[in-house]
Order: sequence, then structure tokens, then C-alpha cells
Amino acid sequence: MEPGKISERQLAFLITAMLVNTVILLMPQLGARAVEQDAWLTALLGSVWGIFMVLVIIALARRYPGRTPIEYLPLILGKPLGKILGAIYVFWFLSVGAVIVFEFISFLKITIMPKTPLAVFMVTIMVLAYYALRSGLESWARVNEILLFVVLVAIAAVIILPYHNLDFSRLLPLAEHPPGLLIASSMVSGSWRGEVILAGMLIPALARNKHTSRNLIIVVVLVGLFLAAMEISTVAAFGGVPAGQKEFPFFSLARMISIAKIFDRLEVLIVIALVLGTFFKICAFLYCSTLGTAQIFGFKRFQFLLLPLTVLMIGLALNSFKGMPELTDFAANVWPGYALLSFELVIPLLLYLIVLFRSRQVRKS
Amino acid sequence: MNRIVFVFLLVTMSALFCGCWDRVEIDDLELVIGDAHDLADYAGKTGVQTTFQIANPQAMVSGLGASAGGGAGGEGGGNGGGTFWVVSERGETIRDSVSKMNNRIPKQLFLGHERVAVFGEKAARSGLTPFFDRLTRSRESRDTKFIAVSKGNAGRILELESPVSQSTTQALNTIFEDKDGWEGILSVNMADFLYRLSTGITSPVAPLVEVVPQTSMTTKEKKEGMVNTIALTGLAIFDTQAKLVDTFNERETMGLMWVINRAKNRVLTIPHVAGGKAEPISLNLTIAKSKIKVDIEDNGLPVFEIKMQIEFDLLEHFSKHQEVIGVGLIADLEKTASTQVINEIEAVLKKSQELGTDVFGFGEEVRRQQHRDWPQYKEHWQDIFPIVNVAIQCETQIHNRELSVEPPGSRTEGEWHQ
Repeated sequence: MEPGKISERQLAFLITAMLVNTVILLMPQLGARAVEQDAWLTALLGSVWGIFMVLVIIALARRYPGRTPIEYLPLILGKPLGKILGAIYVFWFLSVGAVIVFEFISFLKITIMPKTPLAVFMVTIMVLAYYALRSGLESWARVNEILLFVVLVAIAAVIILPYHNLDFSRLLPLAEHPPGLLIASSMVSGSWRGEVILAGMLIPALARNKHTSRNLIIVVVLVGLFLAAMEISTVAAFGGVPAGQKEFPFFSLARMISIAKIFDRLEVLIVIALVLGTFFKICAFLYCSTLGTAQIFGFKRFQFLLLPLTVLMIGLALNSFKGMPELTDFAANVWPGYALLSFELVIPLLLYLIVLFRSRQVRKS
Repeated sequence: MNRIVFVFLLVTMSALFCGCWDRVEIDDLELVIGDAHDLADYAGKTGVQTTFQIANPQAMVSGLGASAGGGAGGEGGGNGGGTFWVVSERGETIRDSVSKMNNRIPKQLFLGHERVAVFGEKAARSGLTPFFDRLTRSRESRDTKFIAVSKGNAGRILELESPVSQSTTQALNTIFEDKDGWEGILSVNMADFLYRLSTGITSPVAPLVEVVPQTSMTTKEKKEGMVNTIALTGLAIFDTQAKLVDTFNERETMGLMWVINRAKNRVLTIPHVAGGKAEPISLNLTIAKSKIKVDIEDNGLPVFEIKMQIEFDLLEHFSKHQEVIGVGLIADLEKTASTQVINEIEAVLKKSQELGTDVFGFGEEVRRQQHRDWPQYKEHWQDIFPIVNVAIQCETQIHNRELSVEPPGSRTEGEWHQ
């Protein structure tokens, strides 16, 4: 169905762009609010969940080579149940994509352009995403290869440049909070890391599929380290409690950069990282929901579904939340259950167990 | 066809999306450079009085200084020829008072360039917490913004002209930025203050700014009668609820700066007894490092050990009794300097224990170093801090003597040094 082919490196880069972005907006706040100065530990622990998910999704993909999860769900669960679960998954892709879009446009509205209507940001990013997806997976995966570098450098600059405001003693005492609490709050960051399961939809489009699991595990771990560095920098600048009191702590951190009175007001770095990175994230979610829809109904092509689904995503994004308080509440309380504990880890794990059980029965008989 | 569409999109998009609805010309902005916050009566209740110092860009850029223009506006504002003008309003909240200013000011107030926030003494005594909400919530102000507490009314600080800079807040900002750690100057930005406040055990501090008689005056200015200016005179000490408790004088502030590792530049003058007379010698600080070690005593109380390591250069020997600055003399001076530093630290320690304000962050050191025992102290730290024992050790080294070996005039020709 997907005519284009991407390389393993392009997949790894695409997943990196997805995992690094939008997390930088909410995670520092939620992490610091839950476990204060130990927030960076939860960012690291989140990678452990991510590794589990990579292993499960790759194991399933090995069983059904050349098929996406939407295609092999009916093979595992039977046609009616599999199609229904597939449809639910497609809705999940669409709704999480809508959350990302909303997060992105509210950030821009709150921090940079408060008087500009949401529709402006919405239309620009969605028109761009639609245009990119129409040009095919291959083309936007390649663009990402070029732009990911800019995103990572911009974020790394914000982590490093406020160095004279950082007081690392604010990170002590280390691991003050009980391990249970640390693991529980690592589920929030683990849920974001779990977006790696979108790789399942992209694996059939790979030209070669040899090192995918190794690549993805490396990506998950490196992104974990990167985000931990971000948390360390944020907490060292503000302290555990004040970091949790800010809406966008990492953005506030970028505003603290002032080097030799010349490099001042560099919050634009965050906006660069966010606009470029979120674009690919939205593309990935929109692509997966479109491809999934086509596969549920057995269409030969999916391009004609792009426009309606783009519009649907806009509608969902505009109507899901009133504002940041609701979004933050969702991310802190609902998101782990909606992602890690259901669609990202638990359901794929159950599916894999069913597959294992089945194959053992087949072997016995 | 495709190319035409592409070019069309490129042109229209770049024309339309340059700032969208939020496009603001710099000519339409009033740049606020400093703000002052006081408590004041408003509608029969206690409200806030907000005072803004607003730049007059033409005069400010030309660098003429306040003295050239003269006549900054008083309350209500009025565009004189000075480098800045001042506007002040009252309201229930800070935003409330700011919104009232719009009735008088033609341009939009822009708070993105405010560098210093000054809080009045009355506001500080009643607690600063409510004032910080506007400062942290606003997308225009930054956490690197410096804060200061004024003796008396804060608005008065902003109304004064500065003989040494374009405006008083500009002067304060430059001092805080370039002279942090000099003598008794301890700059505190919002992030530092709020961090200390968030610990609940360490007392926040903020520099104290005061109106003082002016000493740097030309004859012309003396005739015109500009007699006051501002100066930093110490440190305001807050309790854990951000209420002003007391102030440190300059010597106590310097004592605190040794302990919290903030001393960067310092001239320490010590007495040197020679020929039966004490004569002053000035030393210049090059490096100062402190370490706080925490142990738990048998009686269950934490005991602290402050270890200072300081390096000086000799700066001046103001003396009639001449003497070569040699190895033996330097060893003596090192001892005297150590005693002096320890005395300064003991002075501030005594005062803060009397006040019950943990300005050093001793509580945090217990939390970090004796992590297991911390929970039992946490609740009672306000009672424990005044009675803890602190040992101070100071190791001083004097390295160089600048460009003179011995003072001029110390010996004449043919007189060999013994």
C-alpha cells in the first residue's frame, strides 16, 4: 500500500524527532511537580518502559513481516474483533495527534502570540502536514533527516547555555523520594517515550529490516538521556519546587540565557525546535491514522483519506480541551492510562502472549 | 503549474505570517525599565501601589544622563526632557493598577525590558509572596530579573534621578550585573529568591537599597539642589514566609558572602602592628572557597564546620613605618586576615541565630549530607537553627605584592637593608 521505502536510519531519526518533541513542554513541569529534584530520574526510568515497548512491537512485527499492526490484528484476534480493535487504534493515533496539535498551538499562543487566533497556527501547521503527507512518506522522512539536527542542536543549546544560572546542588539529595513513587511518575514520561510504537506502522515501509530493534532501543535510551539532561538543567536553574510551578519550565529556562549581554532572549530556540519537530510528529500520527483507516476498510490507496482525516484531527484538537489547565490535568492523570497502560504496552503485550500461546498449540497439535 | 502554486504560496505566506495579530512596532511601545511595588490604601482596603520607570529612548540612547535633561515627571507621568519618566497607580492587584495607567499613557506599556523590581519596606514586612505572582506569570518578565528591597517607600527610589547613570534602575541593574560579589553587593534574581523561598528552611535575602545624600556632585548640580541618590547598604533578611525580618549591614553581608561562596572581589583591610603602632594593610581577594560539613553530635544536634580557603594579593601598605613585604611579614598577615574573616562570619552567624533566620542554607546542608536524619529535624528547624554549634576554619594565603617590593621612601642611598 505504501509505495515509498525508507531506510532504517530514516526510521530511527523519525522516531527521535517524535520522542524529543512536545515532551519538552509539559514533562519538566509534571516531573518536577511529582518528584521535585528527582525529576531527571523519572526521565531515565521512562526509557525502561520504552525498551519494553520496542521489544514487544518488534517481536510482533517479526511474526507478521510486511504487515502493519492494523493488518495483523484480525489475524490474531479474528476478523470482527481485530477490525474493531484496529479502528480503536486508528482513533488513538488520531486523538493523540490532536492532543499534540493542541499542545503545540496553545504553547505558541501563550508564549509568543497571545492575540493571534488559534486557527492561524492550526491552519499553517496542518496545511504543511497535509502537503508533506501527500508528497509521500519517503519525502518527509528525508526532510526530517536534515532538520532533526537543527532541532537537537536548538534543544541542546537551551540545556547548556544558561550554565551560569545553574546550581547543581539543587539536585541533591539524590533519589529522596521512595522508589515506588519514582516508578509511578516515570509512567508519565514513559508514556511519551512509548510513542515509539508508531514504528510498528512504519516497519513494513522499511527497505531493510535488520537492525531495527537495536536502532530503536538506542534511540529510546539516548532520548532518555537527553531529556534527563533537560530536567537536570531545569531543576538546577529553578529548584525542584519552582520548576513544577511553571507552565513551561523549559521555556522559562531558555529565557534565562544571557551570555555576555550579547546572546540574550534566546527563547526563539525553543520555538525553532518545537515548530520543526512537532511538524514531523503530527505528520507521523496523521500518516498512521490515514494508513490505518485505509487498511481497516481494505482500500488499495490511502491518499484520498488524507484530507478528511486532517480536518477530523483539526476538529478533535479544537474541541478536546479548553486550555492548558485541562491539558496538563490530562497529561498528569489520564495520559499514562490512555497510553502506557493500554495502547502502548499492555495491549501489544497481550497480543504477543496470545500469539505465543497460539503457536505453541499449533506446534502441539 | 506546480511551480506557480509554490511561488504564490511562498509570497502570500511570507507576507501574511510576520507576527500575525501580535505585530507591534517599537514606536508604539513604552519601555518600562524598572518597577516598584508598595502597599497602599485603595478603596478602603490594603491595595498595591505600582510605580514604573519608563525610558525616554531618545534621551537614553544619546547618553546625556539625567542631569542634562532634568525634570523627570512625578506621579502621573509627563514627558519631560529627562532620560525617563515615572508613572504610579494604585489598585487591588498589580495588574489592576497597571491597567489604570492606560487611561493616561498613549502608548502600550511593554514590560519586557524591566530589569529590576524594587519592593517597599512595608510591602516586604507584610510578605512578598503575592507580589511574585505577576512577575512569574507574565510572559514578558524573566526569572533573571533582579530584585531589591528599599528602606521606606519603593516608589521614591524610582522617582530619583541618578547622577551616575541614565536612571536609578539602570544604575541598579548595572551594579547587580557587573558587581555581583564585590564587597557587600549580593545580587539576587527572582530565580534565586524563589528557590530559597521554596525550600521552606533557608531564608531568602535581597539587597537593600536606600536613598542617601549624594557625594558625586558638580558645582552646578550643587546649585540646582540635586542632593540625593541611591546606594546599596546591605541585605534584607526574610523569614520562610517571605516576610522582612531585619536587615544586615555591609559587614554582616560580607560575612554571609564568604559562607555562601559568593565573594568575588573584596578589599580586606587589616591592622599590622609595626614599631608599636597599628598600621592598616589592604589585601585584595583573588579566590575564596567555602565548604560546609555537617556532623551529628551525641546529643542529637547537628554541628557544622565551615572551611574557608582564601587567597589574597597585597594591595596597599598605608604606613609611615617602612618595611619590606617579605615572607615573614606575609605569614603574620595571613594569620591576621584569617582572624578578620572568622570575625566577620561570626558576626553574621550570631545575628542570624538571634533572628532565627537560616540565611546560610545550613538546613539544606543537613538535608543533603545527613539525608537519613533530616526528617526528624525538618519540622523543628526554626527552633534548632538558633542553638546549633558552628566551627569556622579559615586558611588564608597571600600570594603576591603587586609591583612594589618595599614602599618608596623606606630607605635612602647607601643604607643597606638588614
